[in-house]
Amino acid sequence: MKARTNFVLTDSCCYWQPKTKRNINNKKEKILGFINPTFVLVAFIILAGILYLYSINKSAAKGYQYKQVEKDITELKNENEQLKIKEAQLKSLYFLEEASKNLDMTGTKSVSYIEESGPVALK
Amino acid sequence: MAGMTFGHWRIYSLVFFVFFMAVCVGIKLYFLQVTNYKVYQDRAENQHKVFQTLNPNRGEIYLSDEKDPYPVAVNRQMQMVYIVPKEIEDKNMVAENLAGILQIDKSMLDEKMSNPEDMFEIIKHKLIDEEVSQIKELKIKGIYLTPETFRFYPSGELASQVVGFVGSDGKEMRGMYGIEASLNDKLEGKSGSLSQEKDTRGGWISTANREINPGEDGVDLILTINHTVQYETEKILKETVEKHQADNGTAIVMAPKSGKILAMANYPSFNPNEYSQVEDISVFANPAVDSVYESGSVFKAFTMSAGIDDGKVNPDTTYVDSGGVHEAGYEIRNSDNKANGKQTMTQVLEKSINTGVIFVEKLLGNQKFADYVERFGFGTKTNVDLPGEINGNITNLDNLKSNIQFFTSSFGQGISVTPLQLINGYAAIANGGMLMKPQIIDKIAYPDGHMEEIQPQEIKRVITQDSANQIAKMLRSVVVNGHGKKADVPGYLVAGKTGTAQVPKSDGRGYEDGITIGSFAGFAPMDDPQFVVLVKIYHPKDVQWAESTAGPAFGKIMKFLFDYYGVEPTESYDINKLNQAQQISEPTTPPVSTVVEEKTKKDKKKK
Repeated sequence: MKARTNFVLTDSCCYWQPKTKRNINNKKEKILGFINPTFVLVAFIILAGILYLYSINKSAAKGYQYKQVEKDITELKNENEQLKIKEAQLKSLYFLEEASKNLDMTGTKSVSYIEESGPVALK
Repeated sequence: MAGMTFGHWRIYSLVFFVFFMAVCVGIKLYFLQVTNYKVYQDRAENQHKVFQTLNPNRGEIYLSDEKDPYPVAVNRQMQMVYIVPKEIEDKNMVAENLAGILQIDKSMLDEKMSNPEDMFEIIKHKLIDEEVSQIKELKIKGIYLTPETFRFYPSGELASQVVGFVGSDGKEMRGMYGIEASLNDKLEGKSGSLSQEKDTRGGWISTANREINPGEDGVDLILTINHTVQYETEKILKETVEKHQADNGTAIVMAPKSGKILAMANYPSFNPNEYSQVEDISVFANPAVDSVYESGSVFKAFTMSAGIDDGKVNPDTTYVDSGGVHEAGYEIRNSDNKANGKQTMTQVLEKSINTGVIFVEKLLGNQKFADYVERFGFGTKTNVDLPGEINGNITNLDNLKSNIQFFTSSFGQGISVTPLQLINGYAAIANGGMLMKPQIIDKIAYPDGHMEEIQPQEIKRVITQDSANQIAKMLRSVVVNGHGKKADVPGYLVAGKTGTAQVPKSDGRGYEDGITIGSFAGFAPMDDPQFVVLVKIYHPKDVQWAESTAGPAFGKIMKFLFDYYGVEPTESYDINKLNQAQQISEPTTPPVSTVVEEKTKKDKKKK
């Protein structure tokens, strides 16, 4: 097949355009023509739908985790409160006095203060 | 023409009817969408939203302690068990099991399960851990556990009349007595709310919007009361009341420079965890602030302070005690019925001579005496943050011409004061003449972590520093040479005054026979006062002089304070000498500090 040459005529000049280059351009136009905009739109909607479902699912899972963490926090707070109360009961002086009696401990009868007359060394 | 009219009538009727219906629909729509829109909006929201009131956490109350504050009022979550009779298949088996675990009457359970359509019956509140675990092990349909929050007081009776308790007023739970009542608004916080969309089964849709108004938790209060000092003061007071078979007693410890109350004890007291089981509800009150009494000779310190501050007398001023004073048909005698002759003002306090303080009052004049009494804070509330505080009663000083009222008031009879007013007056002397506002709240901890420290508040200068120093030395002399020996602590300069007061008859004039109130008020160390203590013992049965009831209790409390706070002794002492002092036998003089005999004009005429 004989190759054809094209002459492009403009207002100011005229130049020769090789055939091969023109053919490549034509090919590109043909490839683009196969992507149907409807197909792109549908694909985008499907993709967006999938993304939406994924995010909703993830959000639901996070919500569940959030609820669980909230529950754990409440339980730990309650446990902490119970321990605080237990600690207060054990530190109660009524309890300590009773415990000290059971251990045969006696209270201090008198307190003496040592007068420091010179340097004191601890060894 | 007639046909046309008939035809128009029908058209007009139709138009009118349509118009009327349109107006009716319009009015109805107006009411639905404008006037009552909120109601229907709420109904619609109720169908697809869940609403919940968020109850704030009630603030907790703490006592001061060496390291961390000690909690005396906390929120405790406990389980409640309830049943749904409609779901229970074998009612007899359930009743037997629950009765065994919860130690309750089976017939009561049978009665609660008698209605097969019943959906909810509460069985028991405040389950202990063992009961909860046993019920969980049953795994029977129709028995449920649910958490409930209660106010709990870990130390039981400790400072119960100061702290108070939370109870129901028929509508809601709120503070009923003590700090729980006086600062209820701060403690209870503000309610919040939560709304969230729900699904068809009523479950929360976790992905939906959640509207939360979190509300505001109540503040935590840290009291000025020290955990250990309160405990020890209560212990000593209880021992004293029981030892002397007294009706009741009150003891207060204050720091004079700040006005902070370190202990406020009353006996008998109660356990706020079991307040519903208390038979005599008068124990809920706090007699330290909401009851008055005629304080007796402890009041002489104020009369003498006024005399010294006004320059009318000094510690060495002398007068002649003839044993009694006659005024308006009455004879006021000394408690021991003795005439002591020439006495100094210091001896007046040492021997607690009634005629001596009457002498000072006469020199002052009624108006000035009344002014000083008011300046010391008597007759007005101290405005401490405790409920039920009363003014006391000094109305007998209103009539300046009634000398007899002023004479008796000079030694603490005829005017009534609260124990808190009395100790605050002594605190003013100990604080160099400056009257402070008694302080019970030390710090307020807000839910956001911010901590507010309450600053001590000066009220006014009552007497000069010099006058305060002089009266302090005179009160020290009372402890060394007078009736206050048993209140002394070896090695320390303890200053104070006894008072054995008569109790006015509740149903007439005069005083009750054989009923006295023993008080001892004082402070230490004299030259740098750290503590002020008041002990009041009502109607002791075995001894009636304050020297033997309130005095020793005062000494024990003061000694404990020195040891606990590590206040070093300033004086050398012999422990054996102190023991001897504490073994002084009981006085044999009449069991009242004041004898006021009424001589009617008729009696005089007979004589």
